Amino acid sequence: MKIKLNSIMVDNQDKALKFYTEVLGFVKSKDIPVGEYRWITVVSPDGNPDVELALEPNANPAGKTFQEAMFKQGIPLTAFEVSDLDKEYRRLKSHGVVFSVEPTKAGPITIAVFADTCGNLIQIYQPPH
Amino acid sequence: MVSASLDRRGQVLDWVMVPFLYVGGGQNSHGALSRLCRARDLLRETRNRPVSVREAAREAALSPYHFIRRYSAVFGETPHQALIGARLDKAKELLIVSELSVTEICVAVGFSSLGTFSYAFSRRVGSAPSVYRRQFRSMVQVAGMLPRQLVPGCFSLMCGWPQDAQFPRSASAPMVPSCRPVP
Repeated sequence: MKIKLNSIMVDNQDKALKFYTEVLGFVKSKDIPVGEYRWITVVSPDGNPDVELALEPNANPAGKTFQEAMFKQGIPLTAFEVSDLDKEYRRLKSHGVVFSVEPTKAGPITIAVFADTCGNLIQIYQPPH
Repeated sequence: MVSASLDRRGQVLDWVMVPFLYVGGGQNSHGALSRLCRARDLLRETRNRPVSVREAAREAALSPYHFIRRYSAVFGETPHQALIGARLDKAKELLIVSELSVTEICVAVGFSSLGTFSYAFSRRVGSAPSVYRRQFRSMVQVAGMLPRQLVPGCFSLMCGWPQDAQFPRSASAPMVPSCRPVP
């Protein structure tokens, strides 16, 4: 048994694919039509190619409620690791990404939180060297 | 800071959380995002009279210009798109489950012109309101069964569509439809 898949709910899959690839820099892995929606996954060129992130539609009203509540409370739905947080922060800012938490020291790590334009807050963190 | 976190109905919304949420400081702090969320809730309010983008901007404590820019950067769509989207979602629901005419639904969700409504609906949903209704109301509606369009997307996405498309009718039955794996 292995962890292969993580998923994130998005309010619009086209928009999400664009943001997660063009802005965050992930690479599309699968894009399979499933009825009204698509099974879309992206992988990180910097990370393990075996771990995929699925961009799932938030069409389930319960999912939408959960997603919005987490956003309102300022809680990120997932976190991605970066090697240079300041650099990544500046790069994302230049793409117009809005941060809810600016780069902040949190014990041994540095974190920042941004809105992914699809209804979620995402944390990035830089681990101690 | 505290007064900014009181919403328009005077409820104390989240000010006990303010110290925590303002950890980031500055204008991009979570307080600002929180106000944007309230503005979004206002834009989606389809029950009462239509809300203007200007009113939503006031809720977010931003000028209309900055509101539109910031809203788009955070939510990936303009406030106007959010407004129209919420009305069309409501219209989809009414077309499937209500007995109202297309014109009545048009007015009920806040459009003043049938032409604008039909055009916006067709563009966003892919078929005209009347076509959409015929398509999804042709099914026999039985209490305890949900039309396919209103079934949570994750079921059909993760499990494929259950063959009999039947949802449990009694409370004792399992809440999840029988799923078959995606081939």
